[in-house]
Amino acid sequence: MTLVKSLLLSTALLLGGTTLLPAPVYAATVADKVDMQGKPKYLTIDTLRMATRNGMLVVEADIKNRHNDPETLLYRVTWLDNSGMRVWEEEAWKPYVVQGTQKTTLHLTAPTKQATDFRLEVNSPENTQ
Amino acid sequence: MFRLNRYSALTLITASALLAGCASQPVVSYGDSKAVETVTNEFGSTDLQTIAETMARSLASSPVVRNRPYVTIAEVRNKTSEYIDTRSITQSIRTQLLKAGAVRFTVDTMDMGNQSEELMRQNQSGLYDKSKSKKIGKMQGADYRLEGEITSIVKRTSDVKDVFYKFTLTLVDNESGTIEWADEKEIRKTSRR
Repeated sequence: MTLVKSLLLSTALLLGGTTLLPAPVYAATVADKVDMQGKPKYLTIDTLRMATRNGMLVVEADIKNRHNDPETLLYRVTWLDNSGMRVWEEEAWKPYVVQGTQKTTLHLTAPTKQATDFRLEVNSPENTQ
Repeated sequence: MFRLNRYSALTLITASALLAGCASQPVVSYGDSKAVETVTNEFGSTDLQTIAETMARSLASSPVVRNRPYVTIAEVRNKTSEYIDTRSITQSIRTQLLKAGAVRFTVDTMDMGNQSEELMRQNQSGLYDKSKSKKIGKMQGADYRLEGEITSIVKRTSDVKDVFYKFTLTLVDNESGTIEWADEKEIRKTSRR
């Protein structure tokens, strides 16, 4: 009985904790948000986080390079509103270098407050299988 | 026999010239203006687009511009060893900020000539209806000015050229002279033979 009570208390504390300190919103799945063009041999996107800073949507993508040498990733974002419509022009492709065996975070900021959702296009031409 | 050979040679030369002319025609094709450009390691379109995007988004998400202040563009100094159209960079930043509705821009010093000329024409030429012409003395003074600089460090060996660019942009309060926001973007490009 004591064990059940302590479990319930821990659960209540945990739930209380989450309401006091809201965790960042994680995307449903990485595959839903990332359009991986080709199949990179060494680079993987493990986690995506979304938050709002000063009214702007901010996205962070954790990228891992499983190779010992630096790998280049090309990326761009399509910014969308609540109805899934594009709210910004087509972005330019940008290069991002991930050092050998590095785990790094790509930080993206929406161009306008109208953006509430995104799709990340990723291309890794040097190591696409 | 000699005459026949001369004509043959003439025909051959003409045909060769025509063929050579056809071969030297340039092959023209449209490219993707958003693609990553790596033709040389000098300042290029991808660098311009990346800098403008980074700077505009950083400023637009800053609390300094919460009330959509009036901003003007001051000089962006080019301290690199190459020619870079810094006005093109600031114009791209301005376009993105205006599209985002983050700030309002007033006429900068480069466009002041056109602005004052237009006001003078409307008010002093006698050609315009006085009740409908735009009045002198109503221009909006900018709350802030954007100024910055681009610098580079170039290192070179016989087969490697490494270029490091740093673009810095600052937002200065015109009244108090305080720097209210600043950000920088670094780009490294290396080419090998």
